[in-house]
Amino acid sequence: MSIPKSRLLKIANLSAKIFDENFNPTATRTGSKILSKRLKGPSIVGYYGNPDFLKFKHLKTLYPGFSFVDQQEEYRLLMNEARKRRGKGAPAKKKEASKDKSKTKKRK
Amino acid sequence: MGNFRFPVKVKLPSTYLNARVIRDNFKRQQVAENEIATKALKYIARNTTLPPRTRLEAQLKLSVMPNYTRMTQVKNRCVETGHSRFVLSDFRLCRTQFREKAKNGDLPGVKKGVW
Amino acid sequence: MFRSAFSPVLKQSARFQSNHAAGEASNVAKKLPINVEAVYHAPLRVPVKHGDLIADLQLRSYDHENLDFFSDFILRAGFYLGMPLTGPKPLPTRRERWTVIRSPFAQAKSKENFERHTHKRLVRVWDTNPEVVELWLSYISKYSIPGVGMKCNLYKKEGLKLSQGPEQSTLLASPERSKSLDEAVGEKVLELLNSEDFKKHMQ
Repeated sequence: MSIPKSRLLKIANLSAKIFDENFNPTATRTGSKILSKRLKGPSIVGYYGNPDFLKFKHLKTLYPGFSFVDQQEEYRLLMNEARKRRGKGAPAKKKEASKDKSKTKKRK
Repeated sequence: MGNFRFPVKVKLPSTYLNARVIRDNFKRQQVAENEIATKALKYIARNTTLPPRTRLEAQLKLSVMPNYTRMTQVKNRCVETGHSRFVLSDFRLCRTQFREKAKNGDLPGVKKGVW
Repeated sequence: MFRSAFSPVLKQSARFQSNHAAGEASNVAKKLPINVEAVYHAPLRVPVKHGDLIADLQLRSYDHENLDFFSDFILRAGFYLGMPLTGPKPLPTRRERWTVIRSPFAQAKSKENFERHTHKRLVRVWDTNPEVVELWLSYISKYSIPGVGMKCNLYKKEGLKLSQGPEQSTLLASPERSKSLDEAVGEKVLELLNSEDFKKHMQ
């Protein structure tokens, strides 16, 4: 014994009503595919972390009375000094710019 | 690429900064802000039960929206260096930074793999 | 693994040797209170009577030592609250693996492997008053140890009334459900369709 299709459709309709589902027997494109996808925005925004996160350079402006020491920066400056004393520092900048004018390329 | 403009002001991220990182951050904020509108328009455009003129109107409105509101413009970048290739999304780090941090023990639970 | 290897008697004798003269060590060791002595044995359990699942608690950690210790603590806490608990049932370990090029530039043939194991345990709560479960959870989270994550699913049963629609059910009526982003999309669709640009096409 076979059940008529109309009856099966009725059952499907009823069950969709009960379980709060979409009833779409002809499989027309209703765009529910787009609505059912989750929103990605909230997870995307926070990728680079909190923009209000405090950094060392902000401490001085926030607490002007205190003196803070950035150990990494101190260490870098120390090593820089040591390098300069050994004559391994950065080369001095050229002052006589007017003299080298002939060497630089002229753009037309 | 070179002449990217920032029509809306957004806060700078607190991680490593770089023109490309700033640009990506901007796009992320904008995508999130416009997501609901884009989704609504897309739904109208793809819904075949609506009259075709409405759908066309929605599609036109979608195509007029600026590029920085599109999801495909967002690219994961390394939080430490701003590198865009081989970024492990679990840690938001590129391969070299990941390796260094894992070796220092900065990433909880990550060990040298032996199997 | 986490349980101390010495039995209570051994521990006591060690204490005697340090504190008292050697002659007194032969004296009968003072008996520990029974709940203290229970610490040296596997956690006691309240038997499950009705088999009503109230909650399940999943523990996760990157190392199993802390995890086992803490699940033991949880079982003990539950026992003294009179909760029938089962577990800790070991769930499949999640292994994440990454293969990374060793060098920052070129030399791509030489790679390095990294991995992370997430160990999981499941503790299930049966036949308990939800208030007791709340108490237990707050106690556990107060004394939780770093590096062990917890996730608890609470189950609640409700009488079946056909006259009651799903909107009136207390299970579904939660404040965060009513104002979700998905509904914001729906509102936006309606707003767009009712706007001037779209209305002229709808006739």
